[in-house]
This record gives sequence, structure tokens and C-alpha cells, in this order.
Amino acid sequence: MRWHWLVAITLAPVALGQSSGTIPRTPEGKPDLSGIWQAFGTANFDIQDHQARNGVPAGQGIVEGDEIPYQPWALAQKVKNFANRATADPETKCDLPGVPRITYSGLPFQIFQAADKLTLLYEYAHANRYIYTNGTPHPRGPIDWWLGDSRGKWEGDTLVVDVVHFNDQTWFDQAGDFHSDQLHLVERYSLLDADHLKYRVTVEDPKVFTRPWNMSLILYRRREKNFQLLEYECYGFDLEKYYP
Amino acid sequence: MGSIWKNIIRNWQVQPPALAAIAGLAIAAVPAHAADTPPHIEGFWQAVVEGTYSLTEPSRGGIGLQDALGIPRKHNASRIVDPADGQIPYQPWAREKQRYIEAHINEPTKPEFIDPQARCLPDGPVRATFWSAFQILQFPQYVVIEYESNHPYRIIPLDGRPHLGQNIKLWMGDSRGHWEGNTLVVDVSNNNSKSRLSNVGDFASDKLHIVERYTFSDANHMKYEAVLDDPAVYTRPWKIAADMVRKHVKDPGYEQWEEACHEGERNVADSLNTAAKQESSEK
Repeated sequence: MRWHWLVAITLAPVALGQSSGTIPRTPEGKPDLSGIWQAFGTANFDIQDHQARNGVPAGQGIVEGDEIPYQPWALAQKVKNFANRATADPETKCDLPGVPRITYSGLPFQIFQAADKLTLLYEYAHANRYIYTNGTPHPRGPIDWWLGDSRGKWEGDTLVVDVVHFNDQTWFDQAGDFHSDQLHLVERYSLLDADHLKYRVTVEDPKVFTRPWNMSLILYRRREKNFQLLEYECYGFDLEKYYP
Repeated sequence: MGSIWKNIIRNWQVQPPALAAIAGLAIAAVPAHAADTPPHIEGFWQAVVEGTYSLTEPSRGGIGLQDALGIPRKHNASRIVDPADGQIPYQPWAREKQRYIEAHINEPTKPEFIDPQARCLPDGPVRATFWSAFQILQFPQYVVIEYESNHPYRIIPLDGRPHLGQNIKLWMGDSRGHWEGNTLVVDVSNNNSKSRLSNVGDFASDKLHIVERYTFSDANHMKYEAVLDDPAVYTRPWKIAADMVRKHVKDPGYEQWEEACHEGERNVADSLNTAAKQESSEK
């Protein structure tokens, strides 16, 4: 029966969401998140549990408890958004997809980590984010940014990022889940091992939801030799016709 | 020098104990005047003469308005240093095409006359260098350039890996870098060349190959040179050179903030409407 015990100790850190002690570290001793990461799954279609529909594979949601605590008016709006999603989803206009959607948009992104900030470069539309870890506060608002303003700090081996200053123009998914410009996120990045990065985000928006709620997923390191980010420029017009 | 530096980095990643021996070799192998580490180049940089209106008469946009108001143009030297006449050595058909685009750029009666820059599409590696300030980030295996206007970026691996397959074409090209003393040399291929090189219709094809040299002369000054070779469009390779300076020296806390460009962009519709109205009033 010894193998049961072995399996148990091997899996335990992963199950608890803690690092297994073999994670890469920076010269300062912080977990080193540098590398190319990608989310797999169907969250960009729908962050909640959903069965297959035309063009959308079935998927298990990333919302913890699978319930999004909408205020009654907001739930009605979400239902309307869902009905109109083919044209109303901001993704169809190639706008920047917002945070956290850009994390699970399905395309890879690369983290470059330095002591004062992490630079996140996304294959989607050359989007970029800086997560400052130098103790600076958010700039004074109000500011309406597509990807918000990110300030991070290390809590043990977890990078905790506070994100504010959003506009109200992005959705969480193609299914019409939305927020207002009062969106406030707390993201938590923690390495499970060298190649798995746990991502958990707390979503708070007093205009739209009745309480904070959480999403969590795992990002996978792309380990193929010479793997690199390519480009996905999104066009809201007939590019090949005008610029053959 | 470049390959020695790469070897040091590569070995550092996998074999820390071997470092001392390799560093010893490196010091022995390089000329006495060369540094054994690349210069510190992180931070914000900008061309002394900014703007992507024209390569031969470099300036910011808005020239049309300036001309209309009778404000005399400031004549900056051509960015093109080779050939000596400061002109792009186009093949005849290509010169004709460039002039055709230039003639219609301010009254775009067709969507294809519109400069892709006005649509917030990425500018390509050379034009992006001149449009706005850019931030350089420096890591042992990468140099990253983040351009402020419309947020395109370039990730430049320094590990000697081969270029992408030629069927993959990119707006910002595929960059591979190495250090030669104080010069970062970047080889750029896989260009889709759908962006233009200036506002007056200068262009290349997807056969374009660029070799850039970023020479850092001191902490705050850098010379940018780029040789553009495209046998499908030009009669010979040609060269751009420009002086760059470090920006925000007195503001070390400066942050590059979000610059969404495509989002809410209305230039294109406005230009087309204006041109259409003009055309119908002339009939």
C-alpha cells in the first residue's frame, strides 16, 4: 500500500494550492513568474458551467461555486447581453478585452519579471500590462482604462495584485457577463511548481454585484523548444481587401 | 564578443559552477577595451528628431495643416544616409506606387489610401522607433522594446535561436539580437510590411529584411541605424540613421500608461466621409 502514501504526498501540495518547493526564484528569493503562460479551457466563451452550443464547446466554469451574485437589474442585463452576444460582445469590435478576460482569452502571454515591476505582454492585440511591485500606490482617479491599473505585493510566495481604474466597456466572457467602472480586482498568482501557475481573482463591483466573488484557474507554461509569442492583431474591418 | 556573452548567459542558466571558468575565458578572449557585460540600456528613449511624417523630411504629422496656415516647414535632414542623395532607392514601379499613395493620403477616396497607422495598426519595427518614446527592458536572455504610441512591443531573444519559418509574417517582424561591444544588433525578418514606413506612402514588401544597430555611446545617448533590404521593391539596400536620447532622466518614477488607440478610433470614418463629400461637391 506504500504507493498510496507516495501519491498522497506528491499531490498534496497541488491540491492545497501551495508551492511544492521546487519553484524557480529570482536573485531576491521571490518566486520567478517569468515565462510564457497560457490558459486552456472554455472560460472566454463562458466563465460558468455550460453545455455545448453552436461553436462553443461544453466546459466547466471557473467561477467558484458557479454563481455570479448579480443584483436583479444586472442579471436582467446579463440575460440581454447573452441574447445579443453575437454583435454586443466587445470582443467582436476588437477592443482590448479587459482584465481578467485577457488572462483566459486563450492566447499565450509572457511575463518578464524584475524587482520593481512585472511586464505582461499578450499575444492578443499586442496588449500589455505593468504590475508595479515597488510600493507605489494607484494613481489618483478617476481613470477609465481598458486594462486597469495594477499594483502588486508579495504575500509569502503569492503575488497579490490590486487592480482598479477600469472602464465599463468590457465583458468577462462571450456570454455577456459584465461589470461597471467600479470594478475592483484582487488577483493572486502562485506557482504550484515550475510549470503551473495558479491564478485566482476576487471580483468586486458594488454597482453590479451583491457581494465579491471569485474565479480560479491554472495557467500552463509553454515548454516547447523556441516557443514564442506571435501576433493576433484583431481587425474590425476587411483588412485583406484594403491592404492586400 | 556577442557569442561569448551569449555563452556566458546560457551557461549561467544551466551550470552556475562553470561560470567562473567561462568568465575567465571570456576576459581572456575579448579585446582589452571591450566590456564583458552589455551596457545598461533600460529606460525610455526617443529620437532627437521625432515623427513619422516623412523619412526624407522628418517631422511630426500635421504638415498639411501647417502648409495651409502658411507656417514654413522646418527642414530636417533626411533620415536616409545611404544612398548619399537621401532618397529611398525604389524600383520605378515602386516609386510610382509610393507617389500614387502620397497623392491621395490626405483625401482618401478609397479605404486603401488610409495610412494603416491611422487605423491604429502596428507600425512595424522601423516606423515605431520614430513615432513616440519607447521603453527598453533588459533581461539576461531578452531585450524587450515597448513603444508608447499604440502599445506595440518587440520581444528580442538574445539566445541565438533561429528565425520563425518564413510562412509566418508579423506586423512587428521577428527579431533576434546579439551584442557587439556597446552595440545591440537586431536581425528582423518575417515582416508582413502591411504598415508603411512613413505617412507619405513609403513601403516595403514581405521580403523585407532589416538589420538594426543600437549603439550606446554613453548613459543617455544612442545611435539607431537600420539597413533595409528588399529586392522586390528597392534597387539596393539602404540605410537610416538617427540620434536617440534618454527620456525622463529627471523623472525616474515615470510610468508608461495605457494608450488604447483602436478603441473608439474615428479618424478613418471621418477621413472617408470628408473625402466623399469633397468628391461629390466637385462633380
